[in-house]
Amino acid sequence: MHLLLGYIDPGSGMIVLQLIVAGIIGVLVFFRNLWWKFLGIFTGRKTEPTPVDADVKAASPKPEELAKK
Amino acid sequence: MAHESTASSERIAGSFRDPSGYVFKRNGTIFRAIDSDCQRLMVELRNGGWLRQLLEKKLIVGTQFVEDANLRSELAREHPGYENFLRHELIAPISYPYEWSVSMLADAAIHTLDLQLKLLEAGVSLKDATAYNIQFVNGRPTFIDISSFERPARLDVWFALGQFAQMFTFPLLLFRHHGWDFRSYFLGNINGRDVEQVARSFGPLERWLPRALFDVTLPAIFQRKANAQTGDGRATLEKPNKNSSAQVMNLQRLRGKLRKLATTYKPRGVWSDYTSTCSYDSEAEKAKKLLVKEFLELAKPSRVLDMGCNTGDYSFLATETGASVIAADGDQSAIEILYRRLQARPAAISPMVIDLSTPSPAIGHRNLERPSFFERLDVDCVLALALIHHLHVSGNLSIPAIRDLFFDMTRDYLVLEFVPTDDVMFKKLLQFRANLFGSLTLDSCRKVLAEKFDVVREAPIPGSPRTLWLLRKKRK
Repeated sequence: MHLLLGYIDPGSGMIVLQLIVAGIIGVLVFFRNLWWKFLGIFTGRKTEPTPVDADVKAASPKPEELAKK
Repeated sequence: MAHESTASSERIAGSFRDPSGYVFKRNGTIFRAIDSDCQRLMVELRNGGWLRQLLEKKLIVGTQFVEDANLRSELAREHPGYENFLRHELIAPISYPYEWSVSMLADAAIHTLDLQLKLLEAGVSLKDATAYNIQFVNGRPTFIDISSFERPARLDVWFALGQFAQMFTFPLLLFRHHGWDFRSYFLGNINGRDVEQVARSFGPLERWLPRALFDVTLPAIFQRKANAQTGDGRATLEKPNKNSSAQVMNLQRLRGKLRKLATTYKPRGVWSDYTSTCSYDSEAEKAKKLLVKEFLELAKPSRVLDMGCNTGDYSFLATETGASVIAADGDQSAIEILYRRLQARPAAISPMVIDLSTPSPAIGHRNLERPSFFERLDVDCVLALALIHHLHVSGNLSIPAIRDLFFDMTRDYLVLEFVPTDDVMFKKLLQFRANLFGSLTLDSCRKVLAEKFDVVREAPIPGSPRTLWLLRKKRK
């Protein structure tokens, strides 16, 4: 086991973890935006995502794919 | 220290890992040869105003483009394959993470994170995050490895975070929670310890506490998973993503965590006052300070090593005479207190944790990458105050051996405090030891020293049984 680990970049665990965190943040932001849109139906107010939100939304590929559907 | 020299340039031995450039010293000036990719990125950073910001915020070491056409062509001739060069501010002395106290390593970590956060704004990232890329100038960290800058495809993930953890997060966690010291952590492995080894240091319950979960336990689990995976992960890494907010959030979390690890640490001596371990009453202390200052003003050294500096009273004193000082002590908490004092009162002092019985060895590739403490040492005066009895009794060194040690350390002067065997502190060291030191007297000590040093001045310290010498190396 330990010999095999020598072939793995020491940072790979950190990279996988960061990819997961980035994905989760993207999904959360997607649902938050969805919630605001949902509220918008009742209040009649059109909620434009703030520039930061737009950035985060672009950050994760998953919500974008979902949005297309 | 440096090898592979050309006509008048000598390449710095520690600068060889990165293919995009290397550092060399030429006629006392530090230059960096950079490849065309690095040159393009640097020009972009300059034109975008980012370089000026990095320099103004003191995030990076003083850096200029070599624009003089004659010098450029000369350098290009001496360094085949390179056409572009940067000029850097010279940093001396160089110190390494195994010579830092806990706040120094934490500040180096925070500095690296601050630089990375600033670079992200420009869409740039650090391709590595080693602690050797940070140096301290007058107690302030600065980043020295400009060729680590790159423009990666995706900014939501920092590929150097694994290395950052090995160089900063792990040693700080192990220091605070498991009593490791940085010497054993770094000297055993120049690149820090693997996440597997670090994870094993945390117990089965502790592993799930916030302190370890995100930065040790989960990365270790995912590393094992990555090991089991057969597919090629590179496609994921090269998927373009110009949004950095996920990384920014993580780095800001990490920044707060590391800061807290250092600020909540209470070095021994903050509460139990250090003066309790010092034998001087305030009158004798004042007299000693006057004498040391007088001797330093006589010798006029430009670079001083204060060996056994404790919390640095005499290091500050030496800077008042115009010298820059390496303040070294074997006691991590003393250096920690000195470093904190230095934050409140900036001075030309470089604090280092150095155990004189085992000074930092040369480590790394061919034992050349990180030179030993003695190889880096370049001072014209050594201050050895209240040190001789420690070397003689605890260090078990004979007086001739102590003399030769100091002879090797200084280029010119030595300010030595003689502590007689009937001194309170000398007796304290002998508490549980056979007294083999009865033959040590002021005269016998002077006789041994005089074989290699001239006694320039000798003065008893008023109000104490001790004597202060100003000695100068004999010229052959």
